[in-house]
Amino acid sequence: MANTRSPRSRRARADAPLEDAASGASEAVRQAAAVLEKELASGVSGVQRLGAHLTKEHRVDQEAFDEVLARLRANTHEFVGVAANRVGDLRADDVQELAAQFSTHAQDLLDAVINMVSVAPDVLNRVIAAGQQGDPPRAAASSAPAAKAGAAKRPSRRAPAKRAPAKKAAKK
Amino acid sequence: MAGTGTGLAGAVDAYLGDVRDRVVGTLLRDLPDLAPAGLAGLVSSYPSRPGKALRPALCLAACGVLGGDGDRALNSAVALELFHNAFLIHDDIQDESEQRRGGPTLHAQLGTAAAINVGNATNLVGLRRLMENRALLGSQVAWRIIQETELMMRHSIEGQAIELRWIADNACDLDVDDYYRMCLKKTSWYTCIYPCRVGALVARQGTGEPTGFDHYGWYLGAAFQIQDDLLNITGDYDAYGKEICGDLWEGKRTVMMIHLIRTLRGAERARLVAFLGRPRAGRDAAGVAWVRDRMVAAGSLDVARGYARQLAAAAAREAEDALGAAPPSPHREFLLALPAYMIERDR
Repeated sequence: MANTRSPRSRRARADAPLEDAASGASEAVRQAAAVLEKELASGVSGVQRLGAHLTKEHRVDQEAFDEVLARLRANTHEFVGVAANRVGDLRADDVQELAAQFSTHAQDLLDAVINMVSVAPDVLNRVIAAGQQGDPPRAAASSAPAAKAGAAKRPSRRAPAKRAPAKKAAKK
Repeated sequence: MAGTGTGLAGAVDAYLGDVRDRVVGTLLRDLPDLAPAGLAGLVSSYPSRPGKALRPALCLAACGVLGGDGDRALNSAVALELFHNAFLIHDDIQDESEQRRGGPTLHAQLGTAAAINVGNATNLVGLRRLMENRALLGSQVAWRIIQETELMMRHSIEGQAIELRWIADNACDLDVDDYYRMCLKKTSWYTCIYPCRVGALVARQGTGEPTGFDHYGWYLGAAFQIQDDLLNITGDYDAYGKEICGDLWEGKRTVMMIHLIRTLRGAERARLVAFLGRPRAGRDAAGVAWVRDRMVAAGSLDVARGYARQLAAAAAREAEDALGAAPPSPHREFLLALPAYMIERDR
């Protein structure tokens, strides 16, 4: 349920006292919406906790990772929806169409990125395990697109150091 | 409107009354034994007094409107009514409030130390209720509800900390954004967003994100809090159940107070800042009356009423968007009618 939507026709209701206050989003409601949006963005703190856990224990908790991703996905979809609705408030037909296209593309893009990243924990665990055993992390270097994307790839470049790669990876 | 027993208000009152009978009845009937003897009786003190049962009603309505079985959400509804009562006990101590639900606050009756312990015991009983969800709903759903409960408690405690800090620091440079942030954490999350999320989790058996009512809950909770702040200044004690102008005695930074601080100039502003800078015991009835009169003269009450109406209207829009296609049911009608009810209520 996003907020600050464009005015639209509504069926007659008995709660008429609200009608005169309901003609579009007021400044008070826009301010309130912004506060909630900011708070919902605190899904990021889950990512920070996950990072701290990784640094401390050198292990990725798949359940926690999945949970963070689910929250991030929901929150970001919400943001995209709100942003699209705000553009829609500008009223011009072409802007409305642009908003609809932007919304669809952004949602699809978000899903694609998140799906790609979601394979990272398994890869990262294998990298860490391999690093702790002193073996070159071949499986990780060759397996997932997420490994190519960043953190998981670096330990393989530093493989000559025996236990250091795990720490390096963890700090990422 | 509220309490008249007619139209939408009558329907909302009837729904709340049914939920209250069911949830509080279960709560009181199933209180566990707590040593020493008498502790369980003290836990039942606030729940036994007249209350709205708004939070369990939102939980059961969200569950019902999504096609869930209310019996499966009852346990959670009882738990969040217990958490609410524990908050009230501790909140009354922190605010040094004297009246609650038509009677003296628990710390006024028992002393602060004993009242804190009763609040903790009330939280304990609520926690037990949530643990029982494991057998009723399965581990996954029970765990999701506990996670939501942890989040709700974190928001509530942070919101309370913000408000207490404002009073301790005699904060006089606040604006409505600051109020919204505090209100979201202190009121809306545990009063509206959390109950709806829990109801949705039960209805959907833990699948998906239970966030569909978040905006509805936020606007509804903010309208609820501002209306509560207004009733605190303008209400009738018999209906409201708390001391009138208690927020002024406590120096609370409500929308009206923030508006007044930002509106007054010169000597009047200095007098208000000095009033707010004193501890509660250092304020007197004449000072409270002066602040109230200034609020009326400055239009602060009207500004707050406007905010409450706009937020309630936003909640109504959210409800119509989310529930417009839902089949008719008492749950749907309750959720749709609640925004208007919220700003017309007198208790």
